[in-house]
Amino acid sequence: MRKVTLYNVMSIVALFFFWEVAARISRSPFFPSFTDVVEAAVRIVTIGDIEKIKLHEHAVASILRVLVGFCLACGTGVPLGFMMGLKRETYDALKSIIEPVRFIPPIAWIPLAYILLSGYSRYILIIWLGAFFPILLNTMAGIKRTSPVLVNVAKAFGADDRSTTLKVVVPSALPEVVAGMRIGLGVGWMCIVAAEIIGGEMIGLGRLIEKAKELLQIDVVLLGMVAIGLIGLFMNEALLQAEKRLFKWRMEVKM
Amino acid sequence: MTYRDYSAKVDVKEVSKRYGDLEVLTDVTFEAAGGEFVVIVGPSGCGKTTLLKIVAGLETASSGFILINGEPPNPKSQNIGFVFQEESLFPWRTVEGNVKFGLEVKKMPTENKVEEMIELVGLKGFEYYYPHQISGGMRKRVALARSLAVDPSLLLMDEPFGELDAQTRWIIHKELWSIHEKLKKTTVFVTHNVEEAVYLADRVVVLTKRPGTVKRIMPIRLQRPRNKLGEQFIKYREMIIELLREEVPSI
Repeated sequence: MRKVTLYNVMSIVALFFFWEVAARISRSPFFPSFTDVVEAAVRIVTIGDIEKIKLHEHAVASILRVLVGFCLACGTGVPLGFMMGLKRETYDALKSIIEPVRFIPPIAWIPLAYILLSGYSRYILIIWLGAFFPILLNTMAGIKRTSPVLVNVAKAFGADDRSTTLKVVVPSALPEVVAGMRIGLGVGWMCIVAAEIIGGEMIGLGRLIEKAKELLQIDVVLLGMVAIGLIGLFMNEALLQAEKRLFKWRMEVKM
Repeated sequence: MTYRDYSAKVDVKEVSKRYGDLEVLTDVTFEAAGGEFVVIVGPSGCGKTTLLKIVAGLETASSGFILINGEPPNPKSQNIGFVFQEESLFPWRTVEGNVKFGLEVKKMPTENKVEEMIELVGLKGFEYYYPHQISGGMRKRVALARSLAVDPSLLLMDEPFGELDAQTRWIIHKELWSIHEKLKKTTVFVTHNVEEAVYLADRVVVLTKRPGTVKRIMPIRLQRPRNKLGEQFIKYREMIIELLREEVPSI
Protein backbone atom coordinates (compact mmCIF):
# COMPACT_ATOMS: atom_id res chain seq x y z
CA MET A 1 0.00 0.00 0.00
CA ARG A 2 2.77 2.45 0.89
CA LYS A 3 4.59 1.47 -2.27
CA VAL A 4 1.51 2.43 -4.29
CA THR A 5 1.39 5.82 -2.58
CA LEU A 6 5.06 6.32 -3.34
CA TYR A 7 4.51 5.55 -7.03
CA ASN A 8 1.58 7.95 -7.15
CA VAL A 9 3.57 10.75 -5.58
CA MET A 10 6.46 10.06 -7.94
CA SER A 11 4.32 10.24 -11.07
CA ILE A 12 2.62 13.46 -9.93
CA VAL A 13 5.94 15.09 -9.11
CA ALA A 14 7.30 14.01 -12.50
CA LEU A 15 4.27 15.47 -14.28
CA PHE A 16 4.66 18.83 -12.53
CA PHE A 17 8.37 18.84 -13.21
CA PHE A 18 8.10 18.20 -16.97
CA TRP A 19 5.20 20.63 -17.24
CA GLU A 20 7.24 23.32 -15.55
CA VAL A 21 10.28 22.65 -17.75
CA ALA A 22 8.23 22.55 -20.96
CA ALA A 23 6.44 25.79 -20.10
CA ARG A 24 9.69 27.60 -19.27
CA ILE A 25 11.35 26.43 -22.47
CA SER A 26 8.39 27.43 -24.66
CA ARG A 27 8.16 30.93 -23.10
CA SER A 28 4.73 31.23 -24.67
CA PRO A 29 2.16 33.41 -22.86
CA PHE A 30 -0.44 30.79 -23.77
CA PHE A 31 1.40 27.96 -22.07
CA PRO A 32 1.38 28.71 -18.35
CA SER A 33 3.73 26.77 -16.15
CA PHE A 34 2.74 24.82 -13.09
CA THR A 35 3.82 27.66 -10.82
CA ASP A 36 1.72 30.11 -12.90
CA VAL A 37 -1.33 27.95 -12.23
CA VAL A 38 -0.49 27.81 -8.52
CA GLU A 39 -0.24 31.60 -8.49
CA ALA A 40 -3.56 31.83 -10.30
CA ALA A 41 -5.06 29.48 -7.75
CA VAL A 42 -3.88 31.66 -4.88
CA ARG A 43 -5.34 34.69 -6.63
CA ILE A 44 -8.74 33.13 -7.39
CA VAL A 45 -9.01 31.57 -3.94
CA THR A 46 -8.22 34.77 -2.05
CA ILE A 47 -9.30 37.67 -4.27
CA GLY A 48 -11.54 36.01 -6.84
CA ASP A 49 -11.85 36.40 -10.60
CA ILE A 50 -12.55 39.73 -12.34
CA GLU A 51 -15.99 39.75 -10.78
CA LYS A 52 -14.52 38.97 -7.37
CA ILE A 53 -16.12 35.52 -7.34
CA LYS A 54 -13.84 33.19 -5.42
CA LEU A 55 -12.90 29.67 -6.41
CA HIS A 56 -14.92 27.97 -3.69
CA GLU A 57 -17.99 29.96 -4.70
CA HIS A 58 -17.62 28.72 -8.26
CA ALA A 59 -17.17 25.19 -7.00
CA VAL A 60 -20.17 25.26 -4.67
CA ALA A 61 -22.40 26.65 -7.41
CA SER A 62 -21.34 23.90 -9.81
CA ILE A 63 -21.69 21.13 -7.23
CA LEU A 64 -25.19 22.26 -6.32
CA ARG A 65 -26.28 22.31 -9.95
CA VAL A 66 -24.87 18.87 -10.54
CA LEU A 67 -26.50 17.51 -7.40
CA VAL A 68 -29.92 18.81 -8.43
CA GLY A 69 -29.57 17.29 -11.90
CA PHE A 70 -28.20 14.09 -10.40
CA CYS A 71 -31.06 13.75 -7.90
CA LEU A 72 -33.52 14.21 -10.72
CA ALA A 73 -31.70 11.54 -12.72
CA CYS A 74 -31.90 9.16 -9.74
CA GLY A 75 -35.56 9.95 -9.24
CA THR A 76 -36.32 9.07 -12.83
CA GLY A 77 -33.65 6.52 -13.74
CA VAL A 78 -33.97 4.22 -10.74
CA PRO A 79 -37.77 3.68 -10.91
CA LEU A 80 -37.77 3.33 -14.68
CA GLY A 81 -34.78 0.98 -14.55
CA PHE A 82 -36.61 -1.12 -11.97
CA MET A 83 -39.68 -1.37 -14.14
CA MET A 84 -37.64 -2.24 -17.20
CA GLY A 85 -35.70 -4.88 -15.28
CA LEU A 86 -38.77 -6.45 -13.71
CA LYS A 87 -41.05 -6.41 -16.72
CA ARG A 88 -39.50 -7.24 -20.05
CA GLU A 89 -42.46 -5.60 -21.77
CA THR A 90 -41.51 -2.18 -20.39
CA TYR A 91 -38.04 -2.50 -21.84
CA ASP A 92 -39.32 -3.83 -25.15
CA ALA A 93 -41.76 -0.95 -25.40
CA LEU A 94 -39.19 1.74 -24.57
CA LYS A 95 -36.02 0.37 -26.12
CA SER A 96 -36.59 1.89 -29.55
CA ILE A 97 -36.60 5.30 -27.88
CA ILE A 98 -33.98 4.79 -25.19
CA GLU A 99 -31.32 3.01 -27.21
CA PRO A 100 -30.80 5.71 -29.89
CA VAL A 101 -31.34 8.65 -27.53
CA ARG A 102 -28.63 7.51 -25.15
CA PHE A 103 -26.03 7.87 -27.90
CA ILE A 104 -26.82 11.55 -28.40
CA PRO A 105 -24.15 13.30 -26.31
CA PRO A 106 -25.39 15.94 -23.86
CA ILE A 107 -23.47 18.64 -25.80
CA ALA A 108 -25.65 17.92 -28.84
CA TRP A 109 -28.65 19.03 -26.78
CA ILE A 110 -27.12 22.46 -26.11
CA PRO A 111 -28.73 24.33 -29.03
CA LEU A 112 -32.12 22.88 -28.17
CA ALA A 113 -31.74 23.69 -24.49
CA TYR A 114 -30.59 27.18 -25.43
CA ILE A 115 -33.68 27.86 -27.50
CA LEU A 116 -36.34 26.03 -25.51
CA LEU A 117 -35.27 26.58 -21.92
CA SER A 118 -34.04 29.38 -19.76
CA GLY A 119 -32.07 29.83 -16.57
CA TYR A 120 -31.58 26.94 -14.19
CA SER A 121 -33.50 24.40 -16.25
CA ARG A 122 -30.77 24.53 -18.91
CA TYR A 123 -28.16 23.29 -16.46
CA ILE A 124 -30.49 20.66 -15.14
CA LEU A 125 -31.40 19.27 -18.54
CA ILE A 126 -27.79 18.85 -19.63
CA ILE A 127 -26.67 17.27 -16.35
CA TRP A 128 -29.74 15.06 -16.18
CA LEU A 129 -29.01 13.80 -19.69
CA GLY A 130 -25.49 12.84 -18.63
CA ALA A 131 -26.47 11.14 -15.39
CA PHE A 132 -29.74 9.49 -16.40
CA PHE A 133 -28.61 6.72 -18.75
CA PRO A 134 -25.90 5.11 -16.62
CA ILE A 135 -28.32 5.06 -13.70
CA LEU A 136 -31.15 3.65 -15.80
CA LEU A 137 -29.12 0.94 -17.49
CA ASN A 138 -27.23 -0.16 -14.38
CA THR A 139 -30.44 -0.41 -12.40
CA MET A 140 -32.02 -2.51 -15.13
CA ALA A 141 -28.97 -4.75 -15.40
CA GLY A 142 -28.86 -5.21 -11.63
CA ILE A 143 -32.47 -6.29 -11.49
CA LYS A 144 -32.07 -8.68 -14.39
CA ARG A 145 -29.00 -10.27 -12.88
CA THR A 146 -30.90 -11.49 -9.82
CA SER A 147 -30.05 -15.15 -9.34
CA PRO A 148 -32.98 -17.39 -10.29
CA VAL A 149 -31.95 -19.75 -7.47
CA LEU A 150 -32.48 -17.01 -4.88
CA VAL A 151 -35.87 -16.21 -6.40
CA ASN A 152 -36.74 -19.91 -6.16
CA VAL A 153 -35.74 -19.96 -2.50
CA ALA A 154 -38.34 -17.27 -1.86
CA LYS A 155 -40.94 -19.07 -3.99
CA ALA A 156 -40.32 -22.35 -2.16
CA PHE A 157 -41.28 -20.53 1.04
CA GLY A 158 -44.46 -19.38 -0.69
CA ALA A 159 -43.40 -15.76 -1.14
CA ASP A 160 -45.66 -13.71 -3.41
CA ASP A 161 -44.29 -11.46 -6.15
CA ARG A 162 -44.26 -8.42 -3.93
CA SER A 163 -42.20 -9.88 -1.13
CA THR A 164 -39.93 -11.68 -3.60
CA THR A 165 -39.21 -8.31 -5.18
CA LEU A 166 -38.68 -6.55 -1.87
CA LYS A 167 -36.69 -9.25 -0.12
CA VAL A 168 -34.71 -10.76 -2.99
CA VAL A 169 -34.65 -8.66 -6.16
CA VAL A 170 -34.13 -5.23 -4.59
CA PRO A 171 -31.33 -6.12 -2.17
CA SER A 172 -29.61 -8.21 -4.82
CA ALA A 173 -29.70 -5.34 -7.33
CA LEU A 174 -28.79 -2.60 -4.89
CA PRO A 175 -25.00 -2.66 -5.39
CA GLU A 176 -25.44 -2.23 -9.12
CA VAL A 177 -27.99 0.54 -8.63
CA VAL A 178 -25.59 2.43 -6.41
CA ALA A 179 -22.68 1.80 -8.80
CA GLY A 180 -24.88 3.22 -11.55
CA MET A 181 -25.51 6.26 -9.40
CA ARG A 182 -21.79 6.73 -8.89
CA ILE A 183 -21.13 6.52 -12.62
CA GLY A 184 -24.10 8.82 -13.31
CA LEU A 185 -22.80 11.40 -10.87
CA GLY A 186 -19.43 11.28 -12.59
CA VAL A 187 -20.89 11.74 -16.05
CA GLY A 188 -23.20 14.49 -14.77
CA TRP A 189 -20.21 16.24 -13.28
CA MET A 190 -18.36 16.00 -16.58
CA CYS A 191 -21.29 17.80 -18.24
CA ILE A 192 -20.90 20.82 -15.95
CA VAL A 193 -18.81 22.88 -18.38
CA ALA A 194 -21.22 22.26 -21.25
CA ALA A 195 -24.16 23.11 -19.01
CA GLU A 196 -22.62 26.30 -17.66
CA ILE A 197 -21.59 27.63 -21.04
CA ILE A 198 -25.30 28.05 -21.84
CA GLY A 199 -26.42 28.67 -18.28
CA GLY A 200 -26.22 32.44 -18.31
CA GLU A 201 -25.06 33.04 -14.74
CA MET A 202 -21.50 34.21 -14.19
CA ILE A 203 -20.77 31.73 -11.43
CA GLY A 204 -19.66 28.11 -11.67
CA LEU A 205 -16.42 26.33 -12.58
CA GLY A 206 -17.48 25.99 -16.22
CA ARG A 207 -18.20 29.71 -16.28
CA LEU A 208 -14.83 30.45 -14.72
CA ILE A 209 -13.14 28.57 -17.55
CA GLU A 210 -15.29 30.33 -20.14
CA LYS A 211 -14.60 33.78 -18.69
CA ALA A 212 -10.86 33.13 -18.39
CA LYS A 213 -10.77 31.91 -21.98
CA GLU A 214 -12.18 35.20 -23.20
CA LEU A 215 -9.57 37.10 -21.18
CA LEU A 216 -6.83 34.76 -22.44
CA GLN A 217 -6.02 33.80 -18.84
CA ILE A 218 -4.89 30.31 -19.69
CA ASP A 219 -3.58 29.75 -16.17
CA VAL A 220 -7.12 30.27 -14.82
CA VAL A 221 -8.53 27.98 -17.51
CA LEU A 222 -6.16 25.27 -16.32
CA LEU A 223 -7.04 25.99 -12.70
CA GLY A 224 -10.71 25.48 -13.50
CA MET A 225 -9.94 22.21 -15.25
CA VAL A 226 -7.84 20.93 -12.37
CA ALA A 227 -10.58 21.90 -9.89
CA ILE A 228 -13.18 19.98 -11.91
CA GLY A 229 -10.91 16.96 -12.05
CA LEU A 230 -10.16 16.96 -8.34
CA ILE A 231 -13.76 17.46 -7.27
CA GLY A 232 -14.87 14.64 -9.60
CA LEU A 233 -12.22 12.36 -8.15
CA PHE A 234 -13.28 13.22 -4.63
CA MET A 235 -16.97 12.56 -5.27
CA ASN A 236 -16.21 9.24 -6.92
CA GLU A 237 -13.94 8.15 -4.07
CA ALA A 238 -16.50 9.15 -1.46
CA LEU A 239 -19.20 7.08 -3.13
CA LEU A 240 -16.83 4.18 -3.67
CA GLN A 241 -16.01 4.14 0.03
CA ALA A 242 -19.72 4.28 0.85
CA GLU A 243 -20.33 1.33 -1.46
CA LYS A 244 -17.56 -0.68 0.14
CA ARG A 245 -19.06 -0.07 3.52
CA LEU A 246 -22.64 -0.69 2.47
CA PHE A 247 -21.98 -3.81 0.45
CA LYS A 248 -19.23 -5.54 2.34
CA TRP A 249 -21.16 -8.76 1.74
CA ARG A 250 -20.02 -8.52 -1.87
CA MET A 251 -16.39 -8.86 -0.77
CA GLU A 252 -15.20 -6.31 -3.25
CA VAL A 253 -16.96 -3.53 -5.10
CA LYS A 254 -16.19 -3.55 -8.76
CA MET A 255 -14.56 -0.39 -10.05
CA MET B 1 -36.66 -28.14 22.36
CA THR B 2 -40.10 -28.99 21.13
CA TYR B 3 -41.10 -29.64 17.59
CA ARG B 4 -44.54 -29.99 16.21
CA ASP B 5 -44.67 -33.62 15.37
CA TYR B 6 -46.22 -33.80 11.98
CA SER B 7 -44.70 -35.19 8.86
CA ALA B 8 -46.35 -35.30 5.52
CA LYS B 9 -47.24 -38.33 3.52
CA VAL B 10 -46.27 -37.78 -0.09
CA ASP B 11 -47.95 -39.46 -3.06
CA VAL B 12 -46.42 -39.11 -6.49
CA LYS B 13 -48.78 -40.62 -9.07
CA GLU B 14 -47.90 -41.11 -12.73
CA VAL B 15 -46.17 -37.79 -13.00
CA SER B 16 -44.91 -36.82 -16.47
CA LYS B 17 -43.20 -33.66 -17.57
CA ARG B 18 -42.63 -32.41 -21.10
CA TYR B 19 -40.93 -29.23 -22.27
CA GLY B 20 -42.29 -28.91 -25.78
CA ASP B 21 -41.16 -32.06 -27.56
CA LEU B 22 -38.66 -32.99 -24.87
CA GLU B 23 -40.03 -35.57 -22.50
CA VAL B 24 -38.22 -35.36 -19.18
CA LEU B 25 -40.27 -37.58 -16.90
CA THR B 26 -42.69 -40.39 -17.71
CA ASP B 27 -45.22 -41.83 -15.29
CA VAL B 28 -43.19 -41.50 -12.13
CA THR B 29 -44.95 -43.11 -9.21
CA PHE B 30 -43.69 -43.52 -5.67
CA GLU B 31 -44.65 -42.50 -2.21
CA ALA B 32 -43.07 -41.44 1.02
CA ALA B 33 -44.64 -42.26 4.35
CA GLY B 34 -44.67 -39.76 7.22
CA GLY B 35 -41.15 -39.40 8.61
CA GLU B 36 -39.61 -41.54 5.90
CA PHE B 37 -36.29 -40.71 4.23
CA VAL B 38 -36.56 -41.41 0.50
CA VAL B 39 -33.57 -40.96 -1.79
CA ILE B 40 -33.95 -40.63 -5.55
CA VAL B 41 -30.98 -41.65 -7.65
CA GLY B 42 -30.63 -41.66 -11.39
CA PRO B 43 -28.23 -40.89 -14.22
CA SER B 44 -27.60 -37.20 -14.84
CA GLY B 45 -30.21 -35.51 -16.97
CA CYS B 46 -32.93 -37.99 -15.99
CA GLY B 47 -35.15 -35.27 -14.54
CA LYS B 48 -34.43 -35.73 -10.82
CA THR B 49 -34.29 -32.02 -10.12
CA THR B 50 -37.40 -31.37 -12.19
CA LEU B 51 -39.24 -34.05 -10.24
CA LEU B 52 -38.27 -32.45 -6.94
CA LYS B 53 -39.35 -29.01 -8.15
CA ILE B 54 -42.73 -30.44 -9.13
CA VAL B 55 -43.09 -31.98 -5.66
CA ALA B 56 -42.24 -28.56 -4.18
CA GLY B 57 -44.86 -26.85 -6.31
CA LEU B 58 -42.19 -24.77 -8.08
CA GLU B 59 -43.09 -26.41 -11.39
CA THR B 60 -46.22 -28.13 -12.58
CA ALA B 61 -46.52 -31.65 -13.95
CA SER B 62 -47.69 -32.08 -17.54
CA SER B 63 -49.80 -35.00 -16.36
CA GLY B 64 -50.26 -37.03 -13.23
CA PHE B 65 -50.49 -35.54 -9.77
CA ILE B 66 -48.79 -35.13 -6.45
CA LEU B 67 -50.46 -35.11 -3.08
CA ILE B 68 -48.87 -33.91 0.11
CA ASN B 69 -51.08 -34.98 2.99
CA GLY B 70 -53.85 -35.35 0.44
CA GLU B 71 -53.42 -31.88 -1.06
CA PRO B 72 -51.65 -30.71 -4.19
CA PRO B 73 -48.35 -28.98 -3.46
CA ASN B 74 -48.67 -25.28 -2.78
CA PRO B 75 -45.78 -23.41 -1.13
CA LYS B 76 -48.15 -20.66 -0.02
CA SER B 77 -50.36 -22.85 2.13
CA GLN B 78 -47.93 -25.63 3.03
CA ASN B 79 -44.57 -25.47 4.72
CA ILE B 80 -42.14 -27.24 2.46
CA GLY B 81 -38.41 -27.00 3.01
CA PHE B 82 -36.23 -26.98 -0.10
CA VAL B 83 -32.45 -27.21 -0.02
CA PHE B 84 -31.02 -26.31 -3.41
CA GLN B 85 -28.11 -27.80 -5.25
CA GLU B 86 -26.56 -24.41 -6.01
CA GLU B 87 -25.33 -21.78 -3.58
CA SER B 88 -28.63 -20.44 -2.34
CA LEU B 89 -27.84 -18.23 0.64
CA PHE B 90 -28.64 -14.54 0.38
CA PRO B 91 -25.15 -13.02 0.34
CA TRP B 92 -26.39 -9.75 1.85
CA ARG B 93 -27.85 -11.49 4.89
CA THR B 94 -25.88 -12.87 7.81
CA VAL B 95 -26.25 -16.50 8.88
CA GLU B 96 -28.97 -15.38 11.27
CA GLY B 97 -30.70 -13.28 8.60
CA ASN B 98 -30.69 -16.22 6.21
CA VAL B 99 -32.18 -18.62 8.74
CA LYS B 100 -34.83 -16.02 9.50
CA PHE B 101 -35.85 -15.56 5.85
CA GLY B 102 -38.58 -18.19 5.59
CA LEU B 103 -40.07 -17.13 8.90
CA GLU B 104 -40.28 -13.55 7.63
CA VAL B 105 -41.95 -14.64 4.40
CA LYS B 106 -44.40 -16.85 6.27
CA LYS B 107 -44.92 -14.15 8.89
CA MET B 108 -44.10 -16.64 11.64
CA PRO B 109 -42.58 -15.55 14.96
CA THR B 110 -38.79 -15.63 14.83
CA GLU B 111 -37.87 -15.53 18.51
CA ASN B 112 -36.05 -18.63 19.76
CA LYS B 113 -36.60 -20.46 16.49
CA VAL B 114 -33.63 -18.91 14.69
CA GLU B 115 -31.32 -19.51 17.60
CA GLU B 116 -32.58 -23.04 17.98
CA MET B 117 -32.00 -23.85 14.29
CA ILE B 118 -28.53 -22.38 14.28
CA GLU B 119 -27.70 -24.49 17.29
CA LEU B 120 -29.24 -27.57 15.69
CA VAL B 121 -26.87 -27.37 12.71
CA GLY B 122 -23.92 -26.59 14.97
CA LEU B 123 -23.29 -23.01 13.92
CA LYS B 124 -23.63 -21.27 17.26
CA GLY B 125 -21.22 -18.36 17.33
CA PHE B 126 -21.45 -17.77 13.57
CA GLU B 127 -24.76 -15.87 13.67
CA TYR B 128 -23.33 -12.61 12.39
CA TYR B 129 -21.05 -13.99 9.70
CA TYR B 130 -21.83 -13.40 6.05
CA PRO B 131 -22.00 -16.37 3.66
CA HIS B 132 -18.71 -15.47 1.98
CA GLN B 133 -16.96 -15.60 5.34
CA ILE B 134 -17.83 -19.24 6.08
CA SER B 135 -16.97 -22.54 4.40
CA GLY B 136 -19.03 -24.41 1.81
CA GLY B 137 -20.07 -27.04 4.35
CA MET B 138 -21.21 -24.34 6.77
CA ARG B 139 -23.20 -22.66 4.02
CA LYS B 140 -25.02 -25.94 3.37
CA ARG B 141 -25.82 -26.20 7.08
CA VAL B 142 -27.24 -22.69 7.03
CA ALA B 143 -29.39 -23.57 4.00
CA LEU B 144 -30.63 -26.63 5.90
CA ALA B 145 -31.37 -24.58 9.01
CA ARG B 146 -33.22 -22.05 6.89
CA SER B 147 -35.53 -24.68 5.41
CA LEU B 148 -36.09 -26.35 8.77
CA ALA B 149 -36.90 -23.09 10.55
CA VAL B 150 -40.41 -22.91 9.13
CA ASP B 151 -41.16 -26.32 10.61
CA PRO B 152 -41.80 -27.96 7.25
CA SER B 153 -43.86 -31.10 7.06
CA LEU B 154 -41.73 -32.12 4.09
CA LEU B 155 -38.05 -31.54 3.40
CA LEU B 156 -36.82 -31.67 -0.18
CA MET B 157 -33.08 -31.77 -0.87
CA ASP B 158 -31.66 -31.48 -4.37
CA GLU B 159 -28.10 -32.86 -4.49
CA PRO B 160 -27.30 -30.56 -1.60
CA PHE B 161 -23.80 -31.85 -0.91
CA GLY B 162 -22.60 -32.30 -4.49
CA GLU B 163 -20.02 -29.55 -4.29
CA LEU B 164 -18.51 -30.55 -0.97
CA ASP B 165 -15.28 -32.46 -0.58
CA ALA B 166 -15.53 -36.09 0.50
CA GLN B 167 -14.54 -35.45 4.11
CA THR B 168 -17.00 -32.64 4.72
CA ARG B 169 -19.68 -34.66 2.99
CA TRP B 170 -19.05 -37.58 5.32
CA ILE B 171 -19.43 -35.40 8.41
CA ILE B 172 -22.51 -33.69 7.11
CA HIS B 173 -24.19 -37.04 6.30
CA LYS B 174 -23.90 -38.04 9.94
CA GLU B 175 -25.24 -34.69 11.06
CA LEU B 176 -28.13 -34.79 8.63
CA TRP B 177 -29.08 -38.23 9.84
CA SER B 178 -29.06 -37.21 13.50
CA ILE B 179 -31.18 -34.15 12.66
CA HIS B 180 -33.59 -36.40 10.80
CA GLU B 181 -33.85 -38.71 13.78
CA LYS B 182 -34.57 -35.75 16.02
CA LEU B 183 -37.16 -34.04 13.82
CA LYS B 184 -38.59 -36.95 11.82
CA LYS B 185 -39.43 -34.81 8.82
CA THR B 186 -40.45 -36.68 5.72
CA THR B 187 -37.48 -36.17 3.40
CA VAL B 188 -37.07 -36.61 -0.33
CA PHE B 189 -33.41 -36.38 -1.23
CA VAL B 190 -32.03 -36.36 -4.76
CA THR B 191 -28.46 -37.42 -5.53
CA HIS B 192 -26.33 -39.22 -8.06
CA ASN B 193 -24.02 -40.41 -5.32
CA VAL B 194 -24.93 -44.02 -4.56
CA GLU B 195 -22.99 -44.23 -1.31
CA GLU B 196 -24.84 -41.18 -0.02
CA ALA B 197 -28.13 -42.80 -1.04
CA VAL B 198 -27.47 -46.07 0.77
CA TYR B 199 -26.19 -44.27 3.85
CA LEU B 200 -29.22 -42.03 4.26
CA ALA B 201 -32.21 -43.77 2.71
CA ASP B 202 -35.01 -45.79 4.19
CA ARG B 203 -35.85 -46.47 0.55
CA VAL B 204 -34.00 -45.70 -2.65
CA VAL B 205 -35.96 -44.86 -5.80
CA VAL B 206 -33.84 -45.62 -8.87
CA LEU B 207 -34.81 -43.70 -12.00
CA THR B 208 -34.02 -44.63 -15.59
CA LYS B 209 -32.27 -42.35 -18.06
CA ARG B 210 -34.34 -39.63 -19.72
CA PRO B 211 -37.30 -39.66 -19.91
CA GLY B 212 -36.98 -40.67 -16.28
CA THR B 213 -39.29 -43.27 -14.86
CA VAL B 214 -39.07 -45.48 -11.79
CA LYS B 215 -36.83 -48.46 -12.48
CA ARG B 216 -36.79 -49.96 -9.02
CA ILE B 217 -37.72 -49.01 -5.48
CA MET B 218 -35.31 -50.56 -3.04
CA PRO B 219 -35.79 -50.55 0.73
CA ILE B 220 -32.47 -50.39 2.56
CA ARG B 221 -32.78 -52.78 5.47
CA LEU B 222 -29.66 -51.86 7.39
CA GLN B 223 -29.30 -50.84 10.99
CA ARG B 224 -28.38 -47.28 11.87
CA PRO B 225 -25.88 -45.78 12.15
CA ARG B 226 -24.70 -47.42 8.97
CA ASN B 227 -21.17 -48.47 8.27
CA LYS B 228 -20.10 -47.42 4.79
CA LEU B 229 -17.55 -50.24 4.73
CA GLY B 230 -19.91 -52.95 5.97
CA GLU B 231 -20.47 -55.99 3.80
CA GLN B 232 -24.23 -55.45 3.49
CA PHE B 233 -23.73 -51.77 2.78
CA ILE B 234 -21.39 -52.53 -0.10
CA LYS B 235 -23.81 -55.13 -1.43
CA TYR B 236 -26.62 -52.57 -1.57
CA ARG B 237 -24.27 -50.06 -3.14
CA GLU B 238 -23.18 -52.49 -5.85
CA MET B 239 -26.78 -53.47 -6.57
CA ILE B 240 -27.78 -49.85 -7.17
CA ILE B 241 -24.67 -49.10 -9.21
CA GLU B 242 -25.50 -52.13 -11.35
CA LEU B 243 -29.04 -50.80 -11.92
CA LEU B 244 -27.64 -47.44 -12.95
CA ARG B 245 -25.00 -49.02 -15.17
CA GLU B 246 -27.75 -50.60 -17.23
CA GLU B 247 -28.97 -47.08 -17.90
CA VAL B 248 -25.65 -45.54 -18.78
CA PRO B 249 -23.36 -48.20 -20.28
CA SER B 250 -20.26 -46.08 -19.84
CA ILE B 251 -20.18 -45.69 -16.04
